[in-house]
Amino acid sequence: MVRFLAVRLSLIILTLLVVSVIIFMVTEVLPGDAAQQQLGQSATPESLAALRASMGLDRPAYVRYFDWIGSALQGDLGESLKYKKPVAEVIGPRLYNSVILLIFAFVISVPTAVITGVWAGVRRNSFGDQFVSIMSLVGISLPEFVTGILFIVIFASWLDWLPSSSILLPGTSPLTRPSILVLPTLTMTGVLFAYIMRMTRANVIDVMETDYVRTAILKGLPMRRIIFRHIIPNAMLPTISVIAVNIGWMLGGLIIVENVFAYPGIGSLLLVAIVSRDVPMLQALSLIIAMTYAVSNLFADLSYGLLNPRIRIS
Amino acid sequence: MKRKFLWLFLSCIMALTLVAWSCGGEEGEQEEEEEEESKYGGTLRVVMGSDTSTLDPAYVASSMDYAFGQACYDNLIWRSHDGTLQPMLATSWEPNEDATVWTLELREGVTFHHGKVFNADDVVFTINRLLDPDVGSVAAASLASITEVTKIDDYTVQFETDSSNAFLPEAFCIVQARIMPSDIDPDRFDNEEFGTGPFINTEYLPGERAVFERNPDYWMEDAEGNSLPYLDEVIFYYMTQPETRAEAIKDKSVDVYHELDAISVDSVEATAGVVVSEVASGTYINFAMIVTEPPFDNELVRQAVQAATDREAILEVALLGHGVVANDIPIPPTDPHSALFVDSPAYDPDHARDLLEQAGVELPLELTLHTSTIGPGMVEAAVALKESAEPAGINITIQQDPEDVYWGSVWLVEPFTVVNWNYRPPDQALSLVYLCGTAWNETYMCIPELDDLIVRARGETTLEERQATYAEVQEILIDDASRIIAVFRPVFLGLLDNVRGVSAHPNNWLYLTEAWLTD
Repeated sequence: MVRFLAVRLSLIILTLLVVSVIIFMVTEVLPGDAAQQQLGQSATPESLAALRASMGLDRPAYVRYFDWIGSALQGDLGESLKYKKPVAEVIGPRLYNSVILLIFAFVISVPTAVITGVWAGVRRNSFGDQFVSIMSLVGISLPEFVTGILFIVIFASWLDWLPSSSILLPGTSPLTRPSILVLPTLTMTGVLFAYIMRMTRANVIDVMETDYVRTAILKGLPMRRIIFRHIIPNAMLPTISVIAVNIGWMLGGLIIVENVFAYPGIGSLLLVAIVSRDVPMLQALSLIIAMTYAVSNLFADLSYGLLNPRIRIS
Repeated sequence: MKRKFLWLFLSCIMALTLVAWSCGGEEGEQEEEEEEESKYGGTLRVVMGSDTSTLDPAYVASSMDYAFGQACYDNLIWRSHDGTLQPMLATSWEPNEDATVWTLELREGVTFHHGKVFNADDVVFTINRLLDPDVGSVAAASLASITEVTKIDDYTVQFETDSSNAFLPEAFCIVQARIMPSDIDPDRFDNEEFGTGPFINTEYLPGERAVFERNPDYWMEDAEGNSLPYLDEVIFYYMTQPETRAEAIKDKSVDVYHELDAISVDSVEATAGVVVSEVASGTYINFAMIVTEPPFDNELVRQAVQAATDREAILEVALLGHGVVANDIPIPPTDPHSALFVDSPAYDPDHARDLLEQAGVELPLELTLHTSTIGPGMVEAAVALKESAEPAGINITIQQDPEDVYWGSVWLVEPFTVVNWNYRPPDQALSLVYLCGTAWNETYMCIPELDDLIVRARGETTLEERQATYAEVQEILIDDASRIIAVFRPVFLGLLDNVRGVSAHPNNWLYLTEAWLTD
């Protein structure tokens, strides 16, 4: 177990290194750099050269990369080229806001999706199953920027129940004004709920057709016991990996949802970092996202062992 | 069975959306403002769609940056909403006889937010810093005619220029020329402000918001002698999506929507309790043809594109009718210098065809026009040009480029582009774009006769002389036809109806010193 963890953790570190190299190379290939993006239409050759020098962009790419990775390994993520502030200082409060949003979306969507999935799978082809399945198909097919705007039109403009944008007053956090969390959370939940629900339902249906469930039914076990002892543990195995993969999907959804609702998190910051070619900030954000992804997959693997005694982690 | 439910669901959604839209259409009331007593206090929340990059005025590049600078710094001179020059930190400005030396008297009794007393040293420091090539401020281009800045005494400064320049005071109004203190390390200007302005920055979260509090010691007073500003606090919010910004003002989460998009004007105006302030401006959309690239190296081809441009249609499509038609010179009809201007050749596809035949071009002429969503109306303007040019035998293929590469690798590179230009006073608007070899000469044109006229106007001290010179300039520009300036765009500002003392500024600046809120 300890060995397994050590191997996995060192693999994660390797992955992060590779990610940082790839991100750096991609930003090198993109046309334009941070100085060009900042000056935009008002760039003159002189002002560009001066700004490049002040940002350190006049040095060769490999020098800039090793410079960055050198200080990053010592815990210094560098200074944002766009905002001229330490990256950690810019990302810190934003990360906190995004984590709040992610936790809400996760805590709301995963249990409800699993419960609905099991319920629909057990009552396959009933009216309720049909309804939930169609709803989830709609949820999957509508991208977040459509559902987000639709929610704004319905709940903010028309019904006037909720604010359309996540404006925070100085000294407050999303938790002190929970009403701004509702629409972003709901939008994030949509796709996640639909995927996990459909996956759970499909797995439940598979398991219900196995011999051991049929045997359990035939020998007269109560349905409740069959569901909780036989169906759910077996149906959850593939569902867990879907949940883990979906955490990555949620991080992608953050970018869209935070932009639509003007929610001050790392998703909207990531877009700024890309558009402004702010390499240090982009690196830091990509590493946070890659790490979350890797760690959630690790947790998924670990939980396999708990659910299925046949899998032993070594 | 499944399909039936899907249809039921989809129709529900459509019905909901329709109801939502139709409910949005209540008529807004625009009451005439009566004389009201200005009130102190309150917080004004402003939303805008451009992000900040620095607090250092030398490097400001976005509307958000400009608004911050306007809130916490002062210029020497400021151009007010009606175009007149207003004394700020300079109380008067006088040229010598041939306008080569300008003497500015400075305001006494002004202190910076960090406590330093404002004097001539700060002016000398600021202007020299902007002119320093190592600093690399874009302001250097506008101030380039200055050769020497001299402190005469603590409250008098003299500027020497390389040639007569009647427009020098205009150059002190630019957003980069905010007066900075001479006793602070310039490295600190990026993240902290050290201004003399009406508001003091208390929180700066780039990409999200910035908070400014009232400067209790501000020097300016209103007409009754009350100290300005009235507001206790101003908060600027950044939101990327135009839809989100429009919704934010519609549900009254913000008080001011700076740089309201033309596309949202109608829906915002239709909301009860929200008004739209509109002002004609010199911001324009143009088509640029690089004269060194075929087929645009032939003047007849450029004139054919000019004749094939339906300016009215572009106004209707790109600006939804808000704005005015432009006539190939970047000086708007609201400017007094425009008195002798004529109309550009009218839309005439048959004439365009004749010109192309004269040029020996085989019809149809295939052109690729580059555009981007980076400026409002730019893509729509391209579509309108494509439609209006088709009857003239010109087939335009529209190439839409991503916003983040447009200024860097499309504009000034591709032979045929759509461009969006901010308003600048006449001399800057001409000098920055038309002089031979200047950095923003987007069509690479070079007409020595034109350069002479532009430089001559700077030395002309009466409006009548300059009007005549600029009329000659326009004649050359219409004939050259390498830059087709099609429409002037107005500036819009969305406001809640309890906001007073804020209105759209032709330069797209946001002036909040005299803003106040009714109950």
